[in-house]
Amino acid sequence: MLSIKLLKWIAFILSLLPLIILILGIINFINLGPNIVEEVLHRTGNTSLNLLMIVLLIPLMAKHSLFRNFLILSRMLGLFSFFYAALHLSVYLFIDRSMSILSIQDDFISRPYILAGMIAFISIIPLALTSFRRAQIRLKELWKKIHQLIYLGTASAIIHYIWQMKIDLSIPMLYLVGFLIILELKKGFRAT
Amino acid sequence: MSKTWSQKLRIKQFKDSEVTPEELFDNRRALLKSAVALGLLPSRSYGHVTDIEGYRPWDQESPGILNSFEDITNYNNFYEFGLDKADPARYSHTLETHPWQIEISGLTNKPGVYDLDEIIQSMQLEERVYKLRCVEAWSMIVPWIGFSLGIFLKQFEPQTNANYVQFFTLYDTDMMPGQRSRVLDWPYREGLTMAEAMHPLSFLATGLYGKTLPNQNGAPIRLVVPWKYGFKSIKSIVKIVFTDQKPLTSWNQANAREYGFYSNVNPNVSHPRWSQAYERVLGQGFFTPRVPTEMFNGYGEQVAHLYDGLDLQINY
Repeated sequence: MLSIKLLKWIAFILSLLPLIILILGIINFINLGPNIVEEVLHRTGNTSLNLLMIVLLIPLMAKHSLFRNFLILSRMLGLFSFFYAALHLSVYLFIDRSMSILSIQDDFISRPYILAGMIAFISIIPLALTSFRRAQIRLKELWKKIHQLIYLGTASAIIHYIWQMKIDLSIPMLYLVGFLIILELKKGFRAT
Repeated sequence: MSKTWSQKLRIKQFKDSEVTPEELFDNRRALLKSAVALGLLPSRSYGHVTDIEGYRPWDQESPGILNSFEDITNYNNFYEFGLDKADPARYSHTLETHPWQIEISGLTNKPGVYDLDEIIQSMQLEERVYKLRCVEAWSMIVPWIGFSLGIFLKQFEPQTNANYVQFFTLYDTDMMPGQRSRVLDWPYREGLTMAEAMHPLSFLATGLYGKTLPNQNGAPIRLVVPWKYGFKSIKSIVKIVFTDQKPLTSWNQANAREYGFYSNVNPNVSHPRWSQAYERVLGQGFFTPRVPTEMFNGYGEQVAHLYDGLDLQINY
């Protein structure tokens, strides 16, 4: 079995990799295509959602002794997910919309997927704020309740993804199916 | 002597600072090339493009900075080859464009199946630098080569009750594997009113950047209607039908609330997916802001009269 320290380093570097690719793209060292803002938005959004899904999967995987150590990765991967979500939102507000209040307001009113994305982001803020060990010890049962918000966050993020698709829903629908399977497995897990 | 249509085009100036200095451009190219060599980037082929001889070059000012050949040929919506914008460049090599025939039918005195090589030989080829505005709120400037749609269509003597023209893309699931997935009702079809089709800006392109069209851009012949969203400019055309009824068009069939028959570029009609008030000019840096979208994509002076008396909020 991998040592905990090594496992953490591997997870850290793998989580950082998407950011490194984006930076190399922005400085034009690698080619992310002619619509780089859109590409950065897609990549940060996807990475954030992927990490959320992994955080949800970890407790299920940890049932097997082989993956028991993975439990200690939840906090780091969760924080990385929040980090990519924050990048995603910042690029949308400051780069894509150039802080144009009118354009952002129009998006909120006319485009429900923007609202779903906002709900997803807001619901994972408390998780990030209470992610450190002291908070976990102090808040006890309340901490567990707060961290149930991950389900609302993931569900809203998937709805955000589905809703913004132009025509082909197959990939975001795979996420939805994956999410529902995880929910179902957790239910069975708790019942036993 | 009266002005030609192209001299009447409203020409926009662009600032020197907007032009990529050649040195920087070369640097970027060198970097990209080394990235390809390192295996960071796939090298791409452009099918069987050949140089076009004897076309009349564009002698007006450009509506903006020309996008690079690389940008124009690697960022395409052509669902016949996949849904990702890089898919057409990767997968469109399966399209065989020689020989190619176009069927002309419907309300015309000269229906028939015509060979594209003969059509091209009979037309005076010219270059037109147009702005292409996609409904996804991005735009690029493309130097097309081809001929006027109206002049071409008149040869077939459309009958007086031919109020519309409908266009069809090739339907061939071997050459266009994306058609195996039913994301749209294939074959792709588009349509114009006769007045729109006869407008001097409406264009049939057979090339770009001095070369024949790469497959991913709609080889061997495609429509270009610069005041409408890009999806109206149908690619790889095999059939043109003159009709007296408003024809079915693919995106309108798929989602009528989002994609109207006219689909004129209009910053004032809100779209459920993308704000149409602004657009991103492709090929710019990460920090370059969007620019405001112009009514009729900036071609309003030439085309607005086509829609006199029509409520464009309803007929979007």
